Amino acid sequence: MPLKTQTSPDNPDVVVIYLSGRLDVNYSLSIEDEINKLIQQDHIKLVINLQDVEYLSSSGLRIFIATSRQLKIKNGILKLVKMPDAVKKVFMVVELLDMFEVFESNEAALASFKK
Amino acid sequence: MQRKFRFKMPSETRRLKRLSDFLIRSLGRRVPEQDLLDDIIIAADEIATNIILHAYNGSKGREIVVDLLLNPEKVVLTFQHNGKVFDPEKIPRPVLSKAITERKPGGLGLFIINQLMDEVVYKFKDRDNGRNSITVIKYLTAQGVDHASQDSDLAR
Repeated sequence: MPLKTQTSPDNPDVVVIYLSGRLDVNYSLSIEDEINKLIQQDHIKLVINLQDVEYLSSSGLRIFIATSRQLKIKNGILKLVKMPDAVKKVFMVVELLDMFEVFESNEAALASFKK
Repeated sequence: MQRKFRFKMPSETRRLKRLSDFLIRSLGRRVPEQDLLDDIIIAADEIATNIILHAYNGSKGREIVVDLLLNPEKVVLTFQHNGKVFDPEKIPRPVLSKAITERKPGGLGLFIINQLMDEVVYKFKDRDNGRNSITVIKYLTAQGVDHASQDSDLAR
């Protein structure tokens, strides 16, 4: 699945990734691979926008776990934006919510990189 | 009033969405709290995924039978399969604090099922039909949860 990504002129080194639909066992590995390719290309400041994610399973959760791990190796950072309630629930159940910075908008997430 | 529904699916992960659709169709109007409905859908997806990947080892064309029972007090979901016996006791509880640093954190799906559902019961090789089953219960009322905790107190 090709990733929908975006960079803004104000923050050219930050890549915003838009995920959508069901993040279950069917798509998680390919998404993880695509994000990993970005990291290998030294895009190490990432924002993942979750606004259009309908569903997240434990397999989908691994996207965020694996991405965080890869970024940690490269001293990068991952921020999440617009987490739907059903997605937030899964992060909370496995006690991972505190490990991610979550923002209400892309702008807020991008601004936080400048601090 | 009690209602029963049955859904059959092949052991293919790309059919998981149909299971979610079945649950939304059957429960959507009858379980008005979105939060409870989300819990049931997430747990059901995790159970079916575990059956496909672990009990059936990813082989396609095997069958999973899902029975749904709904009454004002609770939702009961039973998944039956003919795959490998799967003993949840042998799966270690994931160390959540290490999930970010471990290469492949295992057991997250089982952990989620146990956290979201009020009761989880595994049966191996049922005497009536020879199938393995996993039954999960979600109580819809506080009274239902109270009864469940009294029952489990008595069972101790």
